[in-house]
Amino acid sequence: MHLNFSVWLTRWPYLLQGAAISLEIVVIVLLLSTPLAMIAALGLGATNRAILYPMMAISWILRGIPPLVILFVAYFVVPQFGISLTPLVAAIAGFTAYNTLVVAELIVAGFRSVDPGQHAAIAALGLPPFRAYRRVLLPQALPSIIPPYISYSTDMVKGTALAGSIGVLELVTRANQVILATNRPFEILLGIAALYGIVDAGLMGLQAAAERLWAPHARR
Amino acid sequence: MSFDLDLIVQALPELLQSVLVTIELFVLLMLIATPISLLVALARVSSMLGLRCAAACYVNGIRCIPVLVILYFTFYGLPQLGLRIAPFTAALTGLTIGTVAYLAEDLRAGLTAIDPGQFQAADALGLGYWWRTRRIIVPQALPVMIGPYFTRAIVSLKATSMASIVAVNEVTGESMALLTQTYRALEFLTFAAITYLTLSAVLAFAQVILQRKVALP
Repeated sequence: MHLNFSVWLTRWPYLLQGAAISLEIVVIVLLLSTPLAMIAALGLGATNRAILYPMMAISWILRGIPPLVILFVAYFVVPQFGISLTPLVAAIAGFTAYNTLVVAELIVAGFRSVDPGQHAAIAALGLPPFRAYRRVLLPQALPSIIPPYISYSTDMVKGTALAGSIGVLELVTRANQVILATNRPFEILLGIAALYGIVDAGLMGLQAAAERLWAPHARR
Repeated sequence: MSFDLDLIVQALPELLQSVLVTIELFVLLMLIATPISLLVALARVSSMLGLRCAAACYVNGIRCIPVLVILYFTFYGLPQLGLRIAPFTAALTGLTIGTVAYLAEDLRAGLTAIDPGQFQAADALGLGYWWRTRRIIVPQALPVMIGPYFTRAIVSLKATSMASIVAVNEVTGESMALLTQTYRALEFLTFAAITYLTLSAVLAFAQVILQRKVALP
């Protein structure tokens, strides 16, 4: 087989626009799902069972079905209830719903990993709840939250490839179109694999740095 | 907006057939990927630098690109190399390539959790590499590996839904086909969702049983 990358000479603006849409989805989803996850984490960590059990059920369902099916539900089922979404909005809504619960579980696990003695110490010192969270609990929970958070963000970057299945013209969908038009799958796929690789390698580097910074032995 | 159960009952033969395809794809995937992943994980902790680097390149390279792109490689790319394979085989190959990379990383964590003294003790007793791996290292790593292994298995189960994009009629693909025929989304996607939730519940149950079986005293 002879590789011929000249297809990229004419098609690169179209493909890079797709990469921009993919990145746009990632950024918006992370910006929306991170604060939502903090609220959902309050529900998942609640002692009130009327809040806890429904939250656990929602979390189990959203994390138990494939993201692809969540996207199909956002795009095909939600309009049946009278709310019609454009493909891009449906993709962002679907990914946000999924990522919110994934990150919420992460936050809950992070706070659970804090030594219970710390809670006793907070009570003994009479620290107000907000200050206790900001000054005592959060700094100790963050080291176990940040590395997997970045890891899931990497998954999100790769996950955007699914948005094409509901008609978003992101990178992989455009690659698919160009493959069909030029019959040069290897050249196109190698190129977009490299594009994903650059973004993901950057995030992986960030994760490695975060893990080194907050490695258990480096903690006091 | 109502939920029309009749639609599902009418399409039940096709839907159940597609559930079988999902199960077949998933079982074959795990049967092929598990031994390969264990070998890649062993290569990652090997004392041979070349082997370690090759395994690290594979794992980190594959984990950088979306599984869907790997599926496109096997679906569109292999025919360009002159290899004509059925969509099911292409999907299975692509999913295996992806799953091995992630699973190897999970299994490696189990291998590194073993006390280094065990390796030294095995060396002191003059045990060969395979004997040491099979009788000393893997049995001790199993209890640590089971949790991450089943978590990954559930992720892989969900990943089989992507096979629908490369023309495999598993449960997501069949649900979408019926959706385009009937313009009813709620019923068929609910069926797909329930299928995945049931199958992952079965896996979670198997995990609990196995974990009890292999727990270290």
